[in-house]
Amino acid sequence: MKPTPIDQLARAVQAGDETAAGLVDRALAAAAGPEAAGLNIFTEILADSARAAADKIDRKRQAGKSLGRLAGVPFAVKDNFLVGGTKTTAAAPILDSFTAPYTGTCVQRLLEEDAVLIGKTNLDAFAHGTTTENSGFGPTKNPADPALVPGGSSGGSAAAVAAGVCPFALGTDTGGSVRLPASFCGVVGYKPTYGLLSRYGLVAMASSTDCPATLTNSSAEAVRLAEIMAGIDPADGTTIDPGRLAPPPGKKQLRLGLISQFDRKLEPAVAAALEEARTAIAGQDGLEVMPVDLPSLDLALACYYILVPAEISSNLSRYDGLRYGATGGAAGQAGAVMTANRSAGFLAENKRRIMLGTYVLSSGYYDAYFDRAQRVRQRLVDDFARVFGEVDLLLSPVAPMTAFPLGSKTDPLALYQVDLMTVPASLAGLPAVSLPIGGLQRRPPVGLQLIGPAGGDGAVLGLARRLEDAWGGNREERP
Amino acid sequence: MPEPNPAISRQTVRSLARLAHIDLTPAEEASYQRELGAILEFVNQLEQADVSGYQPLHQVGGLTNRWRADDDKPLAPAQQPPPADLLEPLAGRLVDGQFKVPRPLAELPSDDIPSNEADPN
Repeated sequence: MKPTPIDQLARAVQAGDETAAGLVDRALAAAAGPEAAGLNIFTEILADSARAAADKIDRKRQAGKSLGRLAGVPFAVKDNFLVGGTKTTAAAPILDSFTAPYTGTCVQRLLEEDAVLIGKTNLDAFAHGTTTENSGFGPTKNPADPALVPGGSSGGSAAAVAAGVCPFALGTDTGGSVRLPASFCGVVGYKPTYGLLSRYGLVAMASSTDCPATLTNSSAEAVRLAEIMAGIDPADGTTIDPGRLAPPPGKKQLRLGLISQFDRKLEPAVAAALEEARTAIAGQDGLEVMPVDLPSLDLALACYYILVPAEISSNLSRYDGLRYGATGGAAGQAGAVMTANRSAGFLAENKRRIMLGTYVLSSGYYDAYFDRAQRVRQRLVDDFARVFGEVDLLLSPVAPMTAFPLGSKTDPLALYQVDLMTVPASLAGLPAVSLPIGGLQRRPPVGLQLIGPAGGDGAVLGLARRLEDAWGGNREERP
Repeated sequence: MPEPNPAISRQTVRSLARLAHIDLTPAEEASYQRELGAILEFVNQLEQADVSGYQPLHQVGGLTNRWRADDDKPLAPAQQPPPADLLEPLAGRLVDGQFKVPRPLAELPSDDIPSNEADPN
């Protein structure tokens, strides 16, 4: 099935060639069908509200009213986006009956353009993970090969798009959680510049790196969604003015830096795909690839796994089960009740990261770990700034490996290593895309990571577009 | 049985769990000790990093704290307390618009000055 672009779907509904109900019914049928069910993509399918929303859009059109830019387009969001009146579980027991009292900004802006939310997708609990195996709902499987992990933590959202259930989905990318599943599943994952998309209504993981992010079949669709969602949000004080999201005009000559730190110890399938990408780029007019050196990247993963658990331990301290969240019927003194709720409500990886964060923030260890890691973070930011004086954009693989079998990696540290190539752009707040090398049909899927300077989203997505056109990949049949 | 990892002691793991309001069984203490020990050994490589001349970076984007004027203009909608109907899903926990929670302190003898016994530290 060829994936139809979002704009084309919306135009068809606006013109009356398709009904919103038709699009949504097809998406719901796919969501509830044997393939999607077998892949365990959704934590909840919102069939009733989706059908009601679709009917409302069709009646609006029949009444001659104008429809939004995403009229009737079905989509899914990771189950850590609050959507008013629906369960938002973050795939963790402590929130398994939490009904969100409001809808977050990103989702709200999409709904205002008449997109139709069909369901919440599976994730590693609280977005802590790289495989979507750490979920209270069980693992999601990779549509490209169901014996393999889809990547994480936004595995459900990546799978929803890769399996053709809906044309786009939202995820969150804190250290690679959209880029990695995009690479493993064979879709386009776009993590914007930090602050471009509002975090209001997101279950917070690490507030200084969390980014709402998109999964689509093409970079043009990612641009479309970002244009709709971006914009200063008074409810999120870290949002920035979007500026241009289209690629800068007239810049045809681009210097691309292939990160030498990430051009080694690659699985053969990744090395081969990278070579394919290099060849395709070399064949393009005006693109020049050169190796670049970013020595501080060797420290980035250690830096990340100090700073992010620290922020996690702070952000997850609100989950005490007293105002909302599972109570498990614990009684007695408040401290004991909180402890009982948290012990039953968090999964092992959540507890691991909370304790790690508690350790690096505690007195006596703060200077050696947290303070030091923040200085390494500054060094990383400076290193990127230096390199963007020499090249326009950076290239690397998204991960050293392709998707691996479910259950094959259980050591926490080995799972952290999967994030090796994605955490640097997160720590520095830079825009980054995972683009399927060779187009959507390549197996196994391998993502090429494109990284730009802060605010350079247009340039990154513009290069992605050029490479997609060269590969002719985003209009091909899926196998 | 594998050697406990020396990078973190069992006692420290117990303290961390207490600070984080998480109960651990003895078996969990042992496995978290191994895992956290391995992770700390990994992140300890930052000890060798040259950070001279670098200030701690608190957030990217160069934002600075902003203060609003000390006036009584109405707050933006997102800054106001949620209206009662938005709290409807949590209604079971509310009494007169306030969350009812278990008592934070243990029972105290009536004439004593409260001690720090309830403080988890």
